[in-house]
Amino acid sequence: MKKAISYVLSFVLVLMLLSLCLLAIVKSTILDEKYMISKLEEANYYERMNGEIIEQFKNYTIQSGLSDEVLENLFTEDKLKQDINNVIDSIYTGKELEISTSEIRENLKENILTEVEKEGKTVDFEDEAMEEYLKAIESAYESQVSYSTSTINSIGSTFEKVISLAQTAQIIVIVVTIVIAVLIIILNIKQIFGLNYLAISSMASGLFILIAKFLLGQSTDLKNIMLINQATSHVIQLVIEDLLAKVTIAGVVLLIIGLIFSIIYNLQNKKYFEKN
Amino acid sequence: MHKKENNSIILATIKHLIVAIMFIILIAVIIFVLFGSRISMAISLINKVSIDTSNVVLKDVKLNSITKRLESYPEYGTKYGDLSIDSLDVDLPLYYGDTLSILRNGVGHSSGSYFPGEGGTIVCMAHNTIGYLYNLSDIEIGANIVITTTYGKFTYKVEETKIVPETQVDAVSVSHGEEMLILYTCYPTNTFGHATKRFITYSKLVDAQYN
Repeated sequence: MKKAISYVLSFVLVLMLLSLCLLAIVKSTILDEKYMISKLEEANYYERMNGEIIEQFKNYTIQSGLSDEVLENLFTEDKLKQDINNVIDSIYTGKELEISTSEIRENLKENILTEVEKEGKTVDFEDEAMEEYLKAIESAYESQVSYSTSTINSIGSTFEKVISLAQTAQIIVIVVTIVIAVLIIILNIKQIFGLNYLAISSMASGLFILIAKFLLGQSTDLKNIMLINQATSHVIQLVIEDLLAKVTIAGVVLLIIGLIFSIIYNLQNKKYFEKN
Repeated sequence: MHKKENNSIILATIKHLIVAIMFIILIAVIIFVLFGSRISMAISLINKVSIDTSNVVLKDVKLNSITKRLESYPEYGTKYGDLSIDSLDVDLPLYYGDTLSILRNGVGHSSGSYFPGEGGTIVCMAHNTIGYLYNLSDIEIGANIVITTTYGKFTYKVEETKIVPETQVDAVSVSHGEEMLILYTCYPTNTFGHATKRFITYSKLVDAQYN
């Protein structure tokens, strides 16, 4: 009976260890604003986004009768970095996001006037075609920086709750894990503190993580994920690589701890039987 | 004796490993029962957004002569042929897809329309600037537009041209039964800003040579 209960507790401990690993990894990566900003720096996200935005601008300019020269100096690197960081902050804190494009519009109008005057022509900014073009450029900047301001605002309110939930869940899982481990030890205090059950739990968690990671790698092509644009995709790929690395470390550490516990148990068990 | 002791410890550890593996199998069964369909949905979603883009012409695209449908389709964003209009000195690469990025490379093919040889409406478009279709509005009725693909060469004769507002989407509607090429560009070509009209040509298939 004691053995059966210990095996059941050991199985539940596997689930707790898996949950603990998952929560710890996710909390220290995806759910951490500072981590995400560091990944943006690592991925040269700001410079890449600058390039992506200009490419989008060119997509609209190519059919506008204007040259790419009108796209020069529409916004500063500082403004772009500030806007991107505001997006990240909005996601993690739920703050209302607003991206101003008035500076871009004014700079663009100035550049257009300069170019058009060089050719000895005139331009009417009240014209529908010109207004559509200006709007398209502003919209391109906003959508590249934030994908969609309204989407970011709705994600932000949900994300805040998710972070809070994850913190609560982690505390609960830690407490339950300790309780179960202590129960196993108490139940088997005379059998080398139930180290064999702890070993099995640790090995099972470690192996499960490693096998799951392997199967995920076989069935998906995570390295070529393409979302929104190249710059964002590169950040996502870096985060995934980091997650997988942390998952592998967690799996290996749990497996080794399990093996060590098992060997210690078996050595102690052998001595126990030799004594008796 | 020492070796025997080591063997017994190893065997005991392996027994623990076996129990651990049984736990893993049990967890896998529980996960499969509870979340099986969601997991396969998630995996296919991940694979859908995993795109290995290339600019290579697809060499193994074949047309089924009985069903009149392609046996395999080009990857979105890849070049699958060329579009030429001799009377306008136009010879441009033809890509599957119609995003602004694709249109910077040449002629785009609307993903909601048929392919040449499939007996339906093919909708293609390109920019109205130098190097693209800047002179499409000079095309004459009766001019030929040729699409050359890896699976065949298709000649279309222009029957009608129109200038419509960009919001008039029914001007580029897709149907099946008669193969028609709709090729359009922004209009007019000599203004600044976002052109709010489209110059559209409607051409019927007059010749098809299959590879």
